[in-house]
Amino acid sequence: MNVIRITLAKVLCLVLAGALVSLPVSAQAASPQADAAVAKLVELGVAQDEAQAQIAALDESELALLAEHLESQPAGGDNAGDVIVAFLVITGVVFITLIITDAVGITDIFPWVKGPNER
Amino acid sequence: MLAAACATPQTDALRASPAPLPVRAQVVDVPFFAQEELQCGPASLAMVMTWSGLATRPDELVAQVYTEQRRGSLQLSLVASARRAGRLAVQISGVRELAAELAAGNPVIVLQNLGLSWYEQWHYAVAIGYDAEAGEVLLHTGQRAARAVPMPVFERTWARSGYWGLVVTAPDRLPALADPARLQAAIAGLERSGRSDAAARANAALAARALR
Repeated sequence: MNVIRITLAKVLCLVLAGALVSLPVSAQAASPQADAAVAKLVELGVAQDEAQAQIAALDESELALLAEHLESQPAGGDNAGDVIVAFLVITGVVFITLIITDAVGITDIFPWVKGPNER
Repeated sequence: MLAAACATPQTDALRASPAPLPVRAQVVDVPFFAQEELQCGPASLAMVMTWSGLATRPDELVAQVYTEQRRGSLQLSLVASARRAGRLAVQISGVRELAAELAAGNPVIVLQNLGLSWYEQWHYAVAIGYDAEAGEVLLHTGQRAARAVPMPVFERTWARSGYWGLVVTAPDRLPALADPARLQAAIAGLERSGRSDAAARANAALAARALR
């Protein structure tokens, strides 16, 4: 009787172990942290299945480092063009402001901008 | 605060006593891909993946690596992309670990802030060499191959990312890094990406190293 019980237990264990191993990897990987990271990626415009594939490739420990604050994570893009544009915009704004103040009479920087009451 | 921003302790330490690392090292066979605008992530990853034996062009990686809304590439996207392609991708940190990888013949993707703390210019480049005597790091960066950057400048721009680096190798070639936690994380990432074969090869390499 005992032998039968033990054998049944062994068989059951083997079956359960086999079922666990055959589970899809993504089911084993789900965790609240991973789910939150996937959601953040989706918010950034990444497709759902693509976001899941990316998060799945990271270990739990790495998730903490690389997916904690995705909104503020560095994203390497190297936009030197942006710096130049920003500089030009600022220069332009300053320039236009001074032309206006010249025209109004607050400043007198540009000889070719006639202030009020100027001939 | 200015002194802290200017200090380069890791560079100073390496230059003072590089041993047991060699004084200089360079990985000579790392291909160079000039980046398209905003695509330093795909370019850098394509360089190391091609070097690791998996020929890849930057435009093939854009979909997986570049995030439109961020106008750039996230670190996790680079790591994930390499692992999904069956590559061993291990994170390293700091000048010493970087030099160790270069001395072992492995190029390293690095994330720099080329700008200021209040005006960030994040940028990925590939470190391919260093010279502790001359005080330089060689980078495949932007439009320039093997650009020599003074080591203090490199450390300051690298510091803001937490000295983040990524080594990408064929799964049976381990990085110089010995930290078991980070190696296991990389192998686990391969498994979770469905790359069991690559994970098995990496585990075998790890076991072989342990026996030596």
